[in-house]
Amino acid sequence: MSHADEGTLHAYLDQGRQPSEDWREVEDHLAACTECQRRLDEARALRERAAAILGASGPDTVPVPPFDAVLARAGGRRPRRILSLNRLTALGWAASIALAVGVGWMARGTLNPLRSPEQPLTSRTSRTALVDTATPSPSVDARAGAASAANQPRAAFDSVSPARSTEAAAERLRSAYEVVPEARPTDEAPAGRRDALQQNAAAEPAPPTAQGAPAAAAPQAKLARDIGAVAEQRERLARERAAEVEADQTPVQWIESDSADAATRLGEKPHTVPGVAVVRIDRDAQGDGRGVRVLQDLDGVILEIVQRPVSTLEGRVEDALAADASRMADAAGVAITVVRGNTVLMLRASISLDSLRSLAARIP
Amino acid sequence: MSTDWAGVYRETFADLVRFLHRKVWDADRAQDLAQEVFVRALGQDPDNPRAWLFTVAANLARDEARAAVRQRRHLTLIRGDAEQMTASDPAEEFEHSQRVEAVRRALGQLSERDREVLLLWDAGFNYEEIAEQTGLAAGAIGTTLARARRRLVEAHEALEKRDVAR
Repeated sequence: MSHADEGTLHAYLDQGRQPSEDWREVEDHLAACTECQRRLDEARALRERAAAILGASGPDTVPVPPFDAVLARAGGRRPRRILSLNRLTALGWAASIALAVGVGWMARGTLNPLRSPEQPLTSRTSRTALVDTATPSPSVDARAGAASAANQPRAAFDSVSPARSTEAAAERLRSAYEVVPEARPTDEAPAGRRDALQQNAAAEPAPPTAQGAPAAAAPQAKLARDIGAVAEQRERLARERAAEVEADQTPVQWIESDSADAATRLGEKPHTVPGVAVVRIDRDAQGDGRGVRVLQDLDGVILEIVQRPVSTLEGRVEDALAADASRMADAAGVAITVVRGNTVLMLRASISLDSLRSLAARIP
Repeated sequence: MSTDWAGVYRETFADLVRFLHRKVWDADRAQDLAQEVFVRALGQDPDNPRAWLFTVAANLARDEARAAVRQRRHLTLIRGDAEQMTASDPAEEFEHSQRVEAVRRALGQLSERDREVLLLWDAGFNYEEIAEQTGLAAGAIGTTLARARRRLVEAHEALEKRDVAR
């Protein structure tokens, strides 16, 4: 063989103690080549000098606390969920579950016909929008206007929905962040969630009735409008409930995967924020199997990046990006959508919007 | 089968602290981060626990380094190291802190990849493990290590000469 290069000599010094066929050729050459013997001595000296320099930086001694200290530290910490359920519930991210699925939300479209400028885009309105977008009605704006004018029924309606929406959102989130075992049938609706949904339904006040809602002193015309508005709100509630049940029967389920598998599904490497620990890579358990979720640890807060190939969204990416912007403007939580390469990414975390945008900007 | 983290802890903690110390340059912080790594490990069941620990440790240290507090922590590190020394001779403490600072600066002159490979080797990783950890080809580790060692030694000697000249 020709002279051994420096890398080979260092590798020989580092690994050569273990007898291997790999080193026989090197040893034979070294035995016959004084030049390489000299260079081997130099490499040995360099190696020892580097080790000495590193050794001088300490620490000289490393006290090893008992492992119980780790357990105690872990025990003293609030159990870490993938995301804080309470915070998420407060954020009212029921619609973001559809986001988490990715295509479900993106493909449904982005218009929210019920949303008026002064009306914040809460989880309830978002979900209503999804339902109404699926079953468009030309009279929907008129209904919304009537509901706004009818103060008492509107207040009654608002007093009903947030409780239900947050409870249902909590339940849905709980299912969304479950990572299911591979063998679990995807159509299995856990009894606990069904029970919770039923409890929520039982606990919530009955929607205002046509007889009870209007104020007795209201003018007749307004009363009629109110009655109509309430009746339609009830219908909408029923549709929402049906949608919830449907959604509950097909919870977002993720199966733990790995980078190589995710790359196959996306057609390119899964996107991550460089320098942030990747906690887990999941694939979705339903649909076309092209959805991937990467969880990264922002020192205790989890950054979720749901990813899908642009090609699977059938030209709806622009709509998704536009819809996301309006969501960001109103929602307390932060979820943003960006495109990197041939992949649409939905980033979500319980951090400030600026921070999330900054993280997104770091994704090459 | 779930990972025996207590056993891994006994075997790995000191290496992990040294590894972290050469990244955050604060003995107390290195200890703290090493414990944090194990706290995060509980409940995990990676194929290669040691590699997993060092990956998490490297990420924690990187985040730490990016924080604006690094300089402040560095100032406390010298205090922290000095407190660990048995000698209370101020001259000896000063010399020790100078030594640490010289190594820190010399390591700082390496590329991030060279430094990572060198520190992983120093932490007891073999070539295959370093390759897996860094994404480099196993056949490139020897060359990377050779370059990293040479640059470390040269940078350290240059710093020593400069200090002597002062």
